Amino acid sequence: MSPGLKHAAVAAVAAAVLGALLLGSPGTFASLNATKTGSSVVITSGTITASVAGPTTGTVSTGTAPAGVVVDAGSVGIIPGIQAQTLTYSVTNSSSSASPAAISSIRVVSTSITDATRWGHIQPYLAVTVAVNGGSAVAVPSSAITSTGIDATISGTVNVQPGATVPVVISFTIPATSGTIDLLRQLQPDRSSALTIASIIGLAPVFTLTQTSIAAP
Amino acid sequence: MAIPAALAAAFALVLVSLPTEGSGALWTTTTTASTAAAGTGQWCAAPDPSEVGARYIRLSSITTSVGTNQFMAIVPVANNAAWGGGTGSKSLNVRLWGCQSAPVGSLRVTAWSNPATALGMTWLAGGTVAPASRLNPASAAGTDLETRAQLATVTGSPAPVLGSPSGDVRRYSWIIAGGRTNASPATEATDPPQCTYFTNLLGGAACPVAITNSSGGDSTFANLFDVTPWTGSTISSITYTAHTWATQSSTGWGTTNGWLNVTCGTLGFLECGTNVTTTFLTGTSASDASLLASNNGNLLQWLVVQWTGTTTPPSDLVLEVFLQ
Repeated sequence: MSPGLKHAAVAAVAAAVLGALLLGSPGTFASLNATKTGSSVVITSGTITASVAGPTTGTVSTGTAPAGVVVDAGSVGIIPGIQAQTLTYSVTNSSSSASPAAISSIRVVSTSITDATRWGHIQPYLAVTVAVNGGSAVAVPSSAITSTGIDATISGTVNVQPGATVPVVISFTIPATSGTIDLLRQLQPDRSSALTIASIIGLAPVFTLTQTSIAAP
Repeated sequence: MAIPAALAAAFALVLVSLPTEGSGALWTTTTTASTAAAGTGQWCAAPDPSEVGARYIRLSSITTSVGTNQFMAIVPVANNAAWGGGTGSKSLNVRLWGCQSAPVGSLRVTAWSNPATALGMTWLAGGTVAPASRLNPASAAGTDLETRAQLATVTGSPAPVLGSPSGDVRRYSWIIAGGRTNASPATEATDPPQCTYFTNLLGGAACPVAITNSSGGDSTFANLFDVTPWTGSTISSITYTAHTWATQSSTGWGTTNGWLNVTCGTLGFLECGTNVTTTFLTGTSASDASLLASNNGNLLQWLVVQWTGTTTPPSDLVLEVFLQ
């Protein structure tokens, strides 16, 4: 290679490295495009961290009790056609995070089936939904609710600023009927014999947060 | 060419290691929540007559008024499959289902055979020997049954040595009456006291059975139904079995001499005492018309259900009539 060619090659590589550095942080290229001429270019490095608290167990009414059916006041847990059980998690993007982040996915996954008999009875009728920050409930596919448990990943886009917390509500419902089957009566042997939940399945969802833009320096 | 090749390799490494929007390599983090349980709550569902059949009767569906705060249903019962029977001899029973721990009101359930002389019948519902049929209490036969089910006492002269017996005891079976409660739903302790008498040629002694005319003597719903419907894996019921003093034999319900089931002393002329037996219904191929006209209590029983109160019973109080 001639000295001229070698010089040109080195210059090209240097330019490429510089370009790579300019592109080197997420958002940088977009920011560069969106920024007016003369604005400074910021290259930020860092991480995001998140935590989850809870869950808090609650209930939501899904209907009224039909004739001949009584709900014990104060009962928690799923009651077919009448009451959904909710698990509410508080997901926090740490204030030390370098960037806003979206709750990009929630893996709704069971850890164990604590009552196999009851699970076998309710599983065909169980519906699970996920709602982030009060948004629309997204259904877990029924194909993800199987005899071995629950495992589904729900995508999301809800943004969480550093230091902010959003609620994620996972709801469990069973309809009052399925075809001609009266589930309130069919599943009555599977009810709880106390106001507390008859524990059937354990759940430990996994939350993934992904940065959405570069935080200001 | 060695230098450019090394730089190109380094450049490639930079491109790979530095997250870019173009590469999609963004900062991510995952966090796993602690394990929590999901499961069922606590409810109570009494049998639904629309699902399990008309032999289940919601007390709230009994709306025919027969007096102040008194509501009655009169149901013909025979030994057929609609009540779980069909062949052989089956006892007549009532099973109470409920979810409420303290519903307001009281209940009386009795059963009666037909009188010796048939009375006219009109119907509020149905007209055959079926669980959904309801005899009109305002009809002659209905009034007769209503009156007896509400009488303060039902009396009958025991079988005399000569002549025929008289009175209504022959026709009577008690199911939920006479102080029966869920604590003692079908024991001798809650049966009417034994009637004892000395026989004579004319049968002048009387055997009364107390049936109070007002609600004051009836057991309250709370004392009749299972008052702990929540503690088990499912609700439980209380079964009350019909008992009678009538004579039941292979030839049927006694209607003439010897209709009162008694045990007497030596020679049958001394002191006699009534015996309690379970009321049985015998399988038969007789037509409904024949059954409805029969005064053989082993072929047909009229179940008279009366609830009393100022408040309509809650919908979960369900009475099941069955044979076993």
